[in-house]
Amino acid sequence: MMRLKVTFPHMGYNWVCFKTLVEGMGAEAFLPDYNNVKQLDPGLKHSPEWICFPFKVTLGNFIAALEDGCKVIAMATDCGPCRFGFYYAVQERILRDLGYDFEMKYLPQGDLLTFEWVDLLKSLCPDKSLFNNYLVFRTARLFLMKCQLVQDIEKYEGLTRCYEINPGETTQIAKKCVQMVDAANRYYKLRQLRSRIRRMFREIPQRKRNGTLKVGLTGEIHVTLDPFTNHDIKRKLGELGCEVHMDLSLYDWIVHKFHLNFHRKYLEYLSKTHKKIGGLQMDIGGEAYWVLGEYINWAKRGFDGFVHTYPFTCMPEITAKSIITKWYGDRIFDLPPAFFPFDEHAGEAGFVTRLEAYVELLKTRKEKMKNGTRRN
Amino acid sequence: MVLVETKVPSDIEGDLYLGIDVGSVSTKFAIINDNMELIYATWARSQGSPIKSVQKGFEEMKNSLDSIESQIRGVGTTGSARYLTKALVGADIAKTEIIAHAVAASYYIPGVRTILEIGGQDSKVILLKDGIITDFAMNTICAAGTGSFLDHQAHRLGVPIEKFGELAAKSTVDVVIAGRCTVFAESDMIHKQQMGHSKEDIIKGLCEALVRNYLNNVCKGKKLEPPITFQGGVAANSGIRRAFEKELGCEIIVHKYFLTMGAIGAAMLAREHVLHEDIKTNFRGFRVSDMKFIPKAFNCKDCPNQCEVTYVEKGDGEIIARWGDRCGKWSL
Amino acid sequence: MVVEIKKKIGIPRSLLYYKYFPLWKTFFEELGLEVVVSDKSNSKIVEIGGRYAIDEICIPLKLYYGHLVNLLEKDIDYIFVPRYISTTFGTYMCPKFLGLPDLIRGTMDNLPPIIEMDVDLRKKPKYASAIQTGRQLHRSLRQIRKAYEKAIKTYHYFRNLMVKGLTFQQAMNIINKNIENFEPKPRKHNGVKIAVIGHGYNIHDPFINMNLFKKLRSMKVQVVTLENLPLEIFKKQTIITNTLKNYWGNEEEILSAVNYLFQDKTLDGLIFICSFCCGPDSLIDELITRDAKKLNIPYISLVLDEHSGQAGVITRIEAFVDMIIRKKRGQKITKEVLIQTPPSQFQG
Repeated sequence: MMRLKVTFPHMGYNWVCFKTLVEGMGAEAFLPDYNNVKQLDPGLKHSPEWICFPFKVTLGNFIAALEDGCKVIAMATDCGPCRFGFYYAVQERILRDLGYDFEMKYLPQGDLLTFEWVDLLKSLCPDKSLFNNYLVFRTARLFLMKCQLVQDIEKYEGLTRCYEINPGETTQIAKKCVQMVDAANRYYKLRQLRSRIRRMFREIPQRKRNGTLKVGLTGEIHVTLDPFTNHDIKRKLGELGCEVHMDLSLYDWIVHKFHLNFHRKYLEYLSKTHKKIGGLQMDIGGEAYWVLGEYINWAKRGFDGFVHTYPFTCMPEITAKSIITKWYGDRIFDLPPAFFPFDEHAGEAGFVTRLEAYVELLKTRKEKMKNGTRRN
Repeated sequence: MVLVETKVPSDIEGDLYLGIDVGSVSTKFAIINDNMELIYATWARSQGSPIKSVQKGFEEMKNSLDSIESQIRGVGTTGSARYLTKALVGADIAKTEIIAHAVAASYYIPGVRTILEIGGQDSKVILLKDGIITDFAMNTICAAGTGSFLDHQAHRLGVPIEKFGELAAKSTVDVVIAGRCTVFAESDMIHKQQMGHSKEDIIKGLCEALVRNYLNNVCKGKKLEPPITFQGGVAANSGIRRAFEKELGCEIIVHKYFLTMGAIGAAMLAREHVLHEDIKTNFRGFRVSDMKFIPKAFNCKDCPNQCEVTYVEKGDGEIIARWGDRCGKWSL
Repeated sequence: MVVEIKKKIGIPRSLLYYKYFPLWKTFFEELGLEVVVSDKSNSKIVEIGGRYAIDEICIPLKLYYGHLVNLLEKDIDYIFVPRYISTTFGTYMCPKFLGLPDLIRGTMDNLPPIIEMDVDLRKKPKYASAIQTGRQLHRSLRQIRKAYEKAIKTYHYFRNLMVKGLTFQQAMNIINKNIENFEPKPRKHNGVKIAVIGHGYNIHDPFINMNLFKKLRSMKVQVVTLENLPLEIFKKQTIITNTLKNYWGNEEEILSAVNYLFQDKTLDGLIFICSFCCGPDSLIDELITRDAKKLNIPYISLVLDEHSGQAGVITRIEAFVDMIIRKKRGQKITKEVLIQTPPSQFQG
């Protein structure tokens, strides 16, 4: 029996989870190097000019994998309304026209309760007996657990970095944790890891700092979770002294697609109840619906800043951006937003300048409010 | 590098055709005979107004070619100011520079499959098969991948643009200048400068950035098959040619008429047009250089568009061309 | 008896106006409202739109803002901002259409009451949307039903007129003049058939496409838009690959039209017009380009935005049409062959 060699696109630390998904089913996971400029180049060359950035990044991943002799690509898809649903089909077309021979496996994730993903997983498995039902169950369980752990790592990483005494330690610990999650392939081990990860982050030497800012980070999922695409915005925010709060993660998304994510439901409720001032009434693709909800949520919880990252020309996120800009402009909510569109043109230098300026703004604003000019 | 070609005009017989290519940076003139041989070519820098530069070229031609004026049977114009020039000199046709370049190149370089044309303001790629254009593309919105991009950066680096090729050849280190857009490339270049890279390396990086931009932007999804020729003003820059050869992995032909190719093509198209339709030319003659043309403009206030309508008046008050309106009420 | 003054409802001359306006107009007029349309697009509207909309947004939406502001100056009682979610089963509109009323509400001040209409054929019939709209105006079910039926009738008449070869403006004129059973005359051309495909709001707005049609007509080519194609071809859902069905409403039409046109042996060239920053079009364009290349059909896509100069667009169109004409006539210049095409071929 031939083991399939399956590749999948990168998205931050989440390769760990996808790898389990593939390897748990008895196929071989094939990982291209983490996103880099060299890999991106063919992606840029062959993608449509005005497409959103994740398309180009993932196409670069696929080309790198195919060049190394991988034959099967796994890609998630959605059923609209944003461009994401077209990704795999157009990418398949582009790659075929380039003359690669491969198989495109796609995972419809519009609604995971349709259980179409089970068929996808089974198709990866070389063993066609009934035993693979058990494998699907085991893999899905491991996958979810790993997603949860990666979510934890991302969360702790954002919260601790601004307090660390030795610069760079948090990043190291996070990397180490990801390695640990990657290595563990039994459910009970993963369960033990959960508290271990928490402890590891807690044990990072920290100091109290006055005037740390509470900043919420959200946006389009690929851009927000992938440090290459977003120029490592989370780390930079942390180094500038911001406590980064992030609810967005792969786990969050998966649970949402199982219709069990009550946090997202709450955000939807927030957006819906603000109809009069333009809260979205339905999911328009991307994360726009929840971005609005998060904005309201964090504004109510008294956050200091709100960072919205998205691919340049992303249709749903621009809608959200327009509305948030107006809300802040009219001081309906007192939470200064910053918007960071990313694409291959975004120069590092300009980005850092803008980010630093934004953090500076938040700091002076906080000082001012402390000194009694708080508006009531 | 042949920019100007002048044969002794006295012993020329037969019909002649004049082509004028009015680009954003320079205006090119070419005269061909009935056998499509180039008789005469010259060029002038466009000094703000195309009218002036056309007149300047005519002035020169009047002095050296006055005897053959009567032999000119057709005049074609091309380039961004083709309609203005057509009205000015009384040309027979005005065609886009894409067609003109393709026609001329397919004559001078038999079997050519790809034409890369980079001018001052825009860049094009033309694909041909058996002398027929099958596809073409032009730069869309930004000016990355055009001559003005290089000009601008040359100015910023304090290097004359003519020295680019020479300096790029001296480079030893590969410097990658990122960004597909002029603005981003510029900021990245400044960044690289501040990092302490040498001028030569940056120039080579710029040439490569321009080529990469051009290939990613203009030639996206096109299969460039050899023989490939490189035309337009930027072709004078050997650094760019080398960068193209490096990226495409094949020889790039730069024909000696690379600069005037558009004008030659316009002349050829004029010839084709005149022969087929069997018409007499409207050419006003070289005395165009002495005529007085006054460009004027007014704001049409009839609708909220408030178009700026420009027109050209001949010395005697006759309006020879008028355009700039969206509704077509004023167009002449 | 009290004479009731008709209330005014404003409809921006933008986006789906170019597709459904006869329907909306009849519907609201039957409900006893006066329909006010914003002025034709002009540079002032574009400028104002750009001021209200954020800069990353696509140009049709910027224009929408401009038209809205233009309408607000016209002293209207309601403003009609529909939310088209899906127009055929199994499709979605672009996300910006989905969030349109929210976007407008969230970003504009001093708006008159917005009349919404959620058209979602995935979940509910068209009639339900009509009721929802009519109810916001406090009309009875009977009135709504009558208006709805008449509106649908007008819309079908309008579509049929366009199938017969009229342009949007011509068909609108006939609807406005209440001419029934109109039969258009065929237009003269030189035998070169070029299809111009794209969203209605780009194709039928002469301001935004820089009078493209006039240019093409002056070159005497036969122009076909997707509304001129037979209606049956839009019934089937297009398939992108064997696993993916298209799910965008507008693109659905474009793709159906393109697939149909590619079968048409008389077609000489295809021009695809899309707006800068248009999400769906960026992908559709890629697919059409690849198909056209395979089938060897001349194809060009024009990206429009408010900054793009007329010159570039015109140059490209001219070169494109010239290229097709030259190709059709087999004109070439090589060393051996020096224009030897017999003149008879030139009659076209």
